Amino acid sequence: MRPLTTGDVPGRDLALAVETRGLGKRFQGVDAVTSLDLRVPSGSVFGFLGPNGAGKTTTIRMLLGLARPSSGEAFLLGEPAGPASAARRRIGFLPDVPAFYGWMKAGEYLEFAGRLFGMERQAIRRRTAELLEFTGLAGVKTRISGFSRGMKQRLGLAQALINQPDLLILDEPTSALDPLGRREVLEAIKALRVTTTVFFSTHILADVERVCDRVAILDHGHLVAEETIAGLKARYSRPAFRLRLEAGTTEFAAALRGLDWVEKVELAGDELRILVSDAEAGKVAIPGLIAQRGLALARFEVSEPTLEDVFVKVVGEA
Amino acid sequence: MSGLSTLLGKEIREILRTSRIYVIPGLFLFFGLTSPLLTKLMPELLKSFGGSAGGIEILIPPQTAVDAFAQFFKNLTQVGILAVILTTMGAVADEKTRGTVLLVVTKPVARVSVVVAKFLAGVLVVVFGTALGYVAALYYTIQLFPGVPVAASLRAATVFAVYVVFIVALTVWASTVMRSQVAAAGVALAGFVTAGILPSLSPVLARWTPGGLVGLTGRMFAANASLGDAGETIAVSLVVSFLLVAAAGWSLGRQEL
Repeated sequence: MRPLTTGDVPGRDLALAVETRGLGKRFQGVDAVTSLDLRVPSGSVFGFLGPNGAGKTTTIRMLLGLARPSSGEAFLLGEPAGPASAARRRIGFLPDVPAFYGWMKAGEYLEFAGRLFGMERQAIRRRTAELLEFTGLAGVKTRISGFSRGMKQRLGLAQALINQPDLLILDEPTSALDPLGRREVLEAIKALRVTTTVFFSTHILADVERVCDRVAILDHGHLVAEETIAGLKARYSRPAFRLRLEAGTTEFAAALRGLDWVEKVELAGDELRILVSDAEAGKVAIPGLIAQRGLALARFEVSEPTLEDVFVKVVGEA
Repeated sequence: MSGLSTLLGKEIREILRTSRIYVIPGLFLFFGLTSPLLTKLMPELLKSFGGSAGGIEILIPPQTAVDAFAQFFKNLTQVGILAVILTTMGAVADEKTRGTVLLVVTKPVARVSVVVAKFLAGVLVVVFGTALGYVAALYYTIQLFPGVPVAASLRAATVFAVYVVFIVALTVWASTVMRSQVAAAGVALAGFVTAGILPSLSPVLARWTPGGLVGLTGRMFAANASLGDAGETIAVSLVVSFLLVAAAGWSLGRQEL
């Protein structure tokens, strides 16, 4: 993707881009989202995390007026959310599976989207050309009906940016993309942070670590954590070690599992990942145990906590 | 109604760039071309049929230009209307099912504009189709029959056009309130059948419900008939059409998509 010029930011206030107060949605007696209080600061790249069925898409649908909240209220860019929200003029939205009119070409769709925003014809042409370059769709002559899912996703991103939005809401934006496409979209999101608040839901934790300032974790409709990634790691991550033995890895893993200060032992190939409750005890005891058993050590390191560890712990505790 | 002109433009381009432009105008043109011809040939056809069926004698009064138009409007109000329902049933339901409407209504667009654009585009197609079919029917009737009642046929075409506009409004409403195309078609067909039955129940219903327009197309050929004779029924049909579109817009505005 080519670099994208971004709009200016005169007088941008620092109010919340997304705010929900006690937002809830009940479907046929089941709470899909329960009393959700979200605060997404303007200018942030905000990751909205949760396992499948956690209520992420339902929350986004309520924010955009596509679903009626059963309780609570939501605000986008300071305006009440809903089907007729005035904030729609300043928002870009990409659903998880964007659907287009198959008979149109990419440029035509972007022009159509620009006109729906009431943009000037010349501005639409300029922005369309820029976004087609940005998403690598310039020169694609086929109708949208012939697009791959990845191409549709990129067109979806382009149409979400046509109005140079102040708030970009993306529902699983990278799930349909190959690794290269994913990296390009994430780079684009990074570039947008200068002018645009990005709120995106995903279950791909590596994407969140790569671009997000803050995250919220949703589980079974409940908000179980909301803070910076560094803060979450500091609060929830446990000390971990990685080690590789020349032989006897499986037996050593079994022996570790019986110890009080060992919380979890994962065997990935010939490598062990050991989560412990006490880092200092681990640093001393693990090499001691290896020596005691006469095993040959090939590698031993104190591991950095990952967002995945945090996610598993937070969702597991919820 | 923000976004209406853009959405209407999109609907018109969609009709022109997909096969939809050929279906209704093509069918109505077909009826326009064939109805006068069939009417003209009918006595000969029946005679040959009767001859081959064992010498049954069939007495047929001489066919006239009015018969040719009666055949044309009969085709339109039966097969033609069914075709209009089948080609319009997906107007909104299909956009909801496929999800294309999501990227429209999350932009600064009034949801009622989506419905109104669908309705107006449908009206353009059926009115164009009616005009095309009528011109063809008129031309062939003039070629095949003497004493063509041009003014009366134009009045009948106008009455039919109002009826088919009502059918478009009914189907767009059904397509909006129902989740699937099939359900929308079912509701629209039920409405069409009900509209057809009501006029037979009482003269009042014949005068004050849209279904009365079907009978009025024939009555436009009577001596001293005028469009004013259908005034109340036309007015009621247009009001009902407006109310159906308004109800569809209101419904889409409240729906979860």
